[in-house]
Parts: sequence; structure tokens; C-alpha cells
Amino acid sequence: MRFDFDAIFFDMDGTLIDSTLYWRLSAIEYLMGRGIVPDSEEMAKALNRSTMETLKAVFDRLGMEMDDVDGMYRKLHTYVERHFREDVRSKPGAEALLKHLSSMGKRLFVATATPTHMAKAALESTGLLKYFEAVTDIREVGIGKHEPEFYRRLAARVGVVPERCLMIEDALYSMRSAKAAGFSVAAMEDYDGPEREEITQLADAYVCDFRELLEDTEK
Amino acid sequence: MNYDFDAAIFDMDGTLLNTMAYWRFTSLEFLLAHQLPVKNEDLVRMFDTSSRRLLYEIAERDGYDIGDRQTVITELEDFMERHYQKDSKPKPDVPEFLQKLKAMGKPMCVATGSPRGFAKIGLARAGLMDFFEFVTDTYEFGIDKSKPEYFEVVARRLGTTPDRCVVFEDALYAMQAAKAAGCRIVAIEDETARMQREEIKKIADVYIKGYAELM
Repeated sequence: MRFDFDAIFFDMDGTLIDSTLYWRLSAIEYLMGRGIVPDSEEMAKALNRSTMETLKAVFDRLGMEMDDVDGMYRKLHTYVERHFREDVRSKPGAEALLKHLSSMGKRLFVATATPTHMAKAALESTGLLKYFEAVTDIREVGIGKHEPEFYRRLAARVGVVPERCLMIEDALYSMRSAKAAGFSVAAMEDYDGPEREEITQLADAYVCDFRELLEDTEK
Repeated sequence: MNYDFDAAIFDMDGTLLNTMAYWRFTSLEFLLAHQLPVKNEDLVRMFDTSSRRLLYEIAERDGYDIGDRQTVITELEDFMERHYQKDSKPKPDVPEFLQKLKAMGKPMCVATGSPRGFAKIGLARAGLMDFFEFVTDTYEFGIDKSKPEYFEVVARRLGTTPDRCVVFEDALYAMQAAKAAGCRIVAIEDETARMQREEIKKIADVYIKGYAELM
């Protein structure tokens, strides 16, 4: 793909950083912390369900109430943050691509649903933070990624018109709103999903691996 | 439970502490750290299979080179050290039960298959260190817990013989060795041993879901 854009925004979880499973599996860590071990059926579904869906299923089986949801989220964040600081890896080719774009003088940003302090921890521990002009999250922007307004605000924040912005993202809902706001979209494949067909139609580029994108820039 | 014994030998992971599940969980942390795919069929077995064995089975099936035995162990232990420092907890009613045995004047020790350095981190965090005469592991004696001799050596260090000892354990293989050495067995239920539960109930002299049953 030709990187003829004035601002390039990256999603983080599942796009720059291999972190999606750490979120999903924090449900298991939360349960272990309470002395609970999921049964084999629950484990079989843990990869394909959200953290809260996994927790709900286990709580239902044990006849427990999910009474303190805020406390639960705080605990889950603690586990994920630890992995962000110490364990996560960047996606193959991510650093090489960022380095290349940076040497071309491109303005690079991270726009994530993950709290900024956690995102920065993951980017710092993987050595990617230095390539970005800014890292922002949905709380700072004041609206979620499911709204085109999120992307209009991003563009306005950096003083670039949406048509000169590229979003690199792995989640379909977010690609939809980026397109609706006038961004170009490069879809990153994270894990297989039923949405692939729609993604390939919607996105301006579809990549399985950043190394392909880098090859394109060198053509 | 019959308290006519001289000394008590406690396993640690899954018996005194909640850490057995975390040992199993390190297989998953290893896969993620190496950016290897995590498959449902492996997750299903994760809590029921030793981390090292699960990883080598996956590596062999899918053709990954995960490194030699010592490298894998070191890496799993690194994850585990963090769990001892940040996540380990005594199982319910452990301090109260240890207090009860102490009040009865029973000497107690910890004999773990994990490195004793880790054991001391976990036991200190749980505030349990002072209950024990000593904490030993399988490295110190160079015998592992699948051997009856292990329990003979530990009993001797407690100043007695295996037939005068009670072993508190959650894992079947160690119960079998302790039983063969002549010890009495109190089996503590742990979910990581759920696949062996029927056999454990057969071999144990006492089977408990939790220490509250002994209070």
C-alpha cells in the first residue's frame, strides 16, 4: 500500500501488540485469584468469548452473583497490565514498519480503547513507544470507536483532514466508523473470525502481517 | 481425623497454597510469550496436565522448537516466581489448622517439588513460615516425590519415621510414594487433581475438600 497520508493512526490491541489473548485469559487469572478453576468446557470456550462472558458462565455454574463488577474490572486490569509491562510482544514486522514510516517523516499515532497508561506500558516494553507523536484512548477523545465522531475528533486533534488520515485496525466495528468518517483503513488480521468477508470489502488494504506492508512501501 | 502421629509433612502447591493452578497456567503464559497459537484442545487440558508435558506434547504435534528441558523449566519458573510474589495465597483455613497442630505440639515441615526458594517466597507472603521446622524441596535431597525414600529422608529430618508421620498432599503420585513409605495420607482436594479424584479417595486415609473439615 502507498502511505500517501499526513497522519497514520494505529489501533494497539491485536494490531501493534499481540495482546488480545491476554485480555481474554485475564478471566482465568481472576478466577484463580478467587480459588476457582474453570472446568474443561469453560476452558474450551475461553478463547472465543469475552472476559465477562467467561466469568458469567463460571459464576452461573457455581451459583455465585457478580456483585462487584467495578472491582472485578479493576482486578482484571491489574492482571493485563502486568502482562503489558512484562510479557507482551509486538506483532511481527511492526517495529520495522514504524521505523520506516518514521524515517519517511510520517506522523504516527496510537488510538486505542485501552486506557492510555496501560497502552503506553505495552508500547514501552515492546520498544514501540518512541515512534509515536501521541497515544490517546477513547476516554481522552470522549467517545467510543464505534462512532465516526471518534475519528473526526482524532483528525481534528492532529490538524489533518480525515481524507488524509489512515487507520490501521483489526476490529470491524471500528473500521466501519473510520470509513464513515472519511479515513482510509488498513485491516490487520488478528485471529480468524466470521467477519472476514465484510472486512475485505470495507478495507482499502487487508494485511495478515506488517512485513507485507513494509514490502509495499519499498516497491 | 486421628491425631496419634509424631510429625506432619506438608506439600506446598495445591496443599498449603493456591499455587498448583498457577503452575499449570504457566504453560499458557509460555505459549503467549513465544507467540505460538493457543488451541482450544490444549486449553481444555491445561489445568489437568503438567506445564512442561503439555508444552512438549504441543511442540511435538505441531512441529515447534521450544528449546531444551532446562530452558523451558527456567522460563516456566520465571513466570511462577511472579505468581508466588503477587498471586499466591494460603488455601482457606490453612493458618487456623496449622495453629491447631502447633498448639498440639506437632513438629511440621514443608516438602515441596518446587524450588525451596520459591516456597519461601510463597510461605512468607502467606505468613506461614514460623509454623515449620524446615522447608525442603526435591533438589536438596536429590530424590523426587515419586520415590518412597523421599519421605523416609524427610521423616528422619523431623526426628521420626514415616509410619509416625502424616503427609498432607493434593497430588496422587506423591501420595502413592508416601503411602509406600508407610506414611498416613490426608488428601486435600485441588481442582488440578480432579482427573485423579477417584484414585485419590481410594488411597487417602482421610479425604478433605478443605481444612474447615478438620477444625
